Amino acid sequence: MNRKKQHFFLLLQLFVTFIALFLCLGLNLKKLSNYFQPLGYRYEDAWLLELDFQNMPAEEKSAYSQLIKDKLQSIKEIELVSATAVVPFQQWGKEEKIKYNKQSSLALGFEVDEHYSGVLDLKLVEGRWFKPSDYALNTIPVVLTKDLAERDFKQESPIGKTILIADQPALVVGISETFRENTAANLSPGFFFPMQTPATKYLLKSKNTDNFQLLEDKIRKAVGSVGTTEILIRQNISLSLVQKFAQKLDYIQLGITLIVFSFLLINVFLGISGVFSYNLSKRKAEIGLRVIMGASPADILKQFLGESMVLTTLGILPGVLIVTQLLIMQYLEPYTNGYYGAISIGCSALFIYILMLSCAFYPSLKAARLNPSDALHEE
Amino acid sequence: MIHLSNIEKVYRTKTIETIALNNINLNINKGEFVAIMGPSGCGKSTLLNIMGLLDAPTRGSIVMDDQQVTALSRKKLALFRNLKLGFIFQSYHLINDLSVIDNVELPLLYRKGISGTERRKRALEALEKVGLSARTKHYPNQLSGGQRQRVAIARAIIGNPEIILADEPTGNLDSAMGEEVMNLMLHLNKTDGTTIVMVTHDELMAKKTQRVIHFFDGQQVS
Repeated sequence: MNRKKQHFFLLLQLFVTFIALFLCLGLNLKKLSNYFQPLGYRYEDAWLLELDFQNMPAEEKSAYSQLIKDKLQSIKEIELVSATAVVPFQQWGKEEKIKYNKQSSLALGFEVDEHYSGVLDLKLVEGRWFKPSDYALNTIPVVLTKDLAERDFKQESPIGKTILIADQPALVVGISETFRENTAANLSPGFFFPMQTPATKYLLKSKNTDNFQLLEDKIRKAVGSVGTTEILIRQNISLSLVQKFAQKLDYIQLGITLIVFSFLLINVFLGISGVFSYNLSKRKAEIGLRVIMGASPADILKQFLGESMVLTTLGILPGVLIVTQLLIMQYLEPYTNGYYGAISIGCSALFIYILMLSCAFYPSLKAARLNPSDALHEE
Repeated sequence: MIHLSNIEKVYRTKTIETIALNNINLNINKGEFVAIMGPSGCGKSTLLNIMGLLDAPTRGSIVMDDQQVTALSRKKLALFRNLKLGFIFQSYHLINDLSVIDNVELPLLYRKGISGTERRKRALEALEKVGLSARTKHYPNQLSGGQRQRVAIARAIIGNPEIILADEPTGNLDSAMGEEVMNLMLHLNKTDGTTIVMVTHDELMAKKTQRVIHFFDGQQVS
């Protein structure tokens, strides 16, 4: 049909809009749902101190790292200090190959110390956290996250079992709650293991943060008192609340999503309105003829709004088929899954139908008000 | 059937006022075939638009089929046109994206209570009457001028209107085709008793009608 050619750009625009909206919604819905899932720990009372040991040799670095930890622990406002390589919202674990019963899988390794669970209030569901006395054993003591235990051990309890981590034997001593990088992140099946490298980051637990400056001064003093000028505090503000990272991340994500969404909405609204108006202007003679044949203004309005709905269906149908196929083949994991994908398809389609109706309404109303004899002669 | 009293049509712009029709009084009886003639710009088509309820007169009243139609709403005018009037145009005005049969069905789309099957049946009957039942699936651009005008006639008669308004229906056709179309309208007038008002420049065609009305400068002169 000739009209199909005429509507090609509109259909293309609808298709692209559907895909963009689906991605925008699909990728964010999963994140949004993650906000309502428990993080598995508390970051509100945790402070981050990050040091730069510059070119200090590894052995020396290790000694100073431990010394600074002890100094920090002696500050009375600080309840607990954890030397760590894993900081929520900032630095996450590394992927490692683990093996149990000849079955291999990948999981995130979280390099932390014995106080990590205490600083972040990370709950244990079974067993215990590793302690310094475990470090003397031939096997690495590890704590699995609940989701890793369920994934790799099914009904069996992993406590007391030996697994291989990068071909090193490791003894499972406990199972923690699930552990996610940030409020928007998916679950990260993984395991905690003791520090193997000198720490440069310290998580400090302190509820007494009323006098921030005083605490900062004490920390600077503690770091300075270890007897070397080589160690620098990396932040402009010497201490950063983990909470600050969390808020910054949330605002950035929300901001980006809103900007992309608003830009998309304005562009699509203008684009579709323009193309629809243009297409209707090319059909003035037809509108005039229909009115002469007995179509009432309501009939004309209904016809063009109906056509807009048919066009929307034709435009988004290929998109629906494509994304459904991608969801079935799990190509969009882990960004979205079948459940959120289906919701996103429904919401995107509904949104485009509403958008198209609002874009089509005014041009259709104008068409319905055309003088038939004038319109008839506008070929 | 059609009673026009004191009809006046004035087109106004900011600077110019043009009187297209001036004090027209006209009665057309039921079953009559009337031709309206006159030079270009004399108001023939304006009159036909007013009779077809496509344009409102500046002054005067129109009574059609014993009904005062001057002050009807757009919705009621549309309904009246759909039930009582059929239109034939010089340049056919068929919708190129629709097949012949879909074009013919068009007036019945806006009539309540007629099923798709009934529409199709009546469209086929109308096309049969104009001798185009073999062209139902064709598109307008696949037809000759004469055939297109016959499709337009089928479209005009599908709703069994009491009045057909034809604006230079043979104007774009050669003499043979024009003759054919004219004969078709004469046949409709004779057999169905349809009232036909035809605007034409062609005196030969006009002579075949029962009455010729002449217009000049927006006024009826005979």
